[in-house]
Amino acid sequence: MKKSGSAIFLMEFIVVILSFSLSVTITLQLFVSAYQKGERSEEISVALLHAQNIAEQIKAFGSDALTYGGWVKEHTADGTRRFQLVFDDGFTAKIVFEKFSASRLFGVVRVYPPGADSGGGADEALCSLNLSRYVPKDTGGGL
Amino acid sequence: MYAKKQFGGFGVCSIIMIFVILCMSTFGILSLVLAREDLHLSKEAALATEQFYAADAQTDEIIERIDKALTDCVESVLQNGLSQAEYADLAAQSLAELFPQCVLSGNKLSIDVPVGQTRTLRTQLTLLPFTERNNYRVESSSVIADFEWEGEESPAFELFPRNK
Repeated sequence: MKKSGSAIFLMEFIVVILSFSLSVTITLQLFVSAYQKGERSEEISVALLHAQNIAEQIKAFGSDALTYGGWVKEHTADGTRRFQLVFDDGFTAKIVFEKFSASRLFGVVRVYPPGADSGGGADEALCSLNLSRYVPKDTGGGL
Repeated sequence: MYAKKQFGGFGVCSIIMIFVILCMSTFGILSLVLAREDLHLSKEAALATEQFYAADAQTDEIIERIDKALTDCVESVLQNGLSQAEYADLAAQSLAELFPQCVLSGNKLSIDVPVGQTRTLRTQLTLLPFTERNNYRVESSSVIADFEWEGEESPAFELFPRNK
């Protein structure tokens, strides 16, 4: 009788361990998924802040905003002006200007997460904002 | 007595395990739901910001075209020696033809550009006389909601009831 009780206890113990392992596996997946979503959310928020800062600086100062802060100009054959900046936190911003004159600026800024291949397309960008500035020629909207 | 002791030995382990599993799964689901909503909020904020800057760029494009149209009017006025009133008429006619969506009231021009589905970026310009250096002046630029906020009319519980 006592032997049988030990066997039942052992069996229950094994079932408990198996169930616990299964539930821990599932719960860990939940926590990992939550962590990844939280990280993604934070990345989007930070990227949005960077992109907004760039957009407002371009709006206020025009292309003068690109002369300081470590922007690197890329020469392209298709006539578009491209600039790139790697922030201290690892995010990368890329600007492509379609219109680039003294009075008119129009382009797109895309911000990529740290470690991402920033040479990729718009799909990899965390956020993408239109940059625009128009200053009438006579009012001294300079580059 | 023996049976009671045996029951306690068997059951406690299972009960504790069930309690731990319930706690873990509850916290796991809660954190996942929270993170998912946070991600959704971040994406919505990013979308709203993208829509705003797209509308802002569209407004700049309209203003650029308006400025060019007004410059053409100024040149026409200077060539033909027209007066300020004639310039105003010419500008109003030109803007009405080129930009029917813009509202011109006196020398005030209002440009509405939709921001997504529920908001509008309204930019107010003042058209200046042709003797001025610039053709226009931007008075204001603001985002307005396209719908009325409908608050709860009669709350079920009022902490501080209003005097009627």
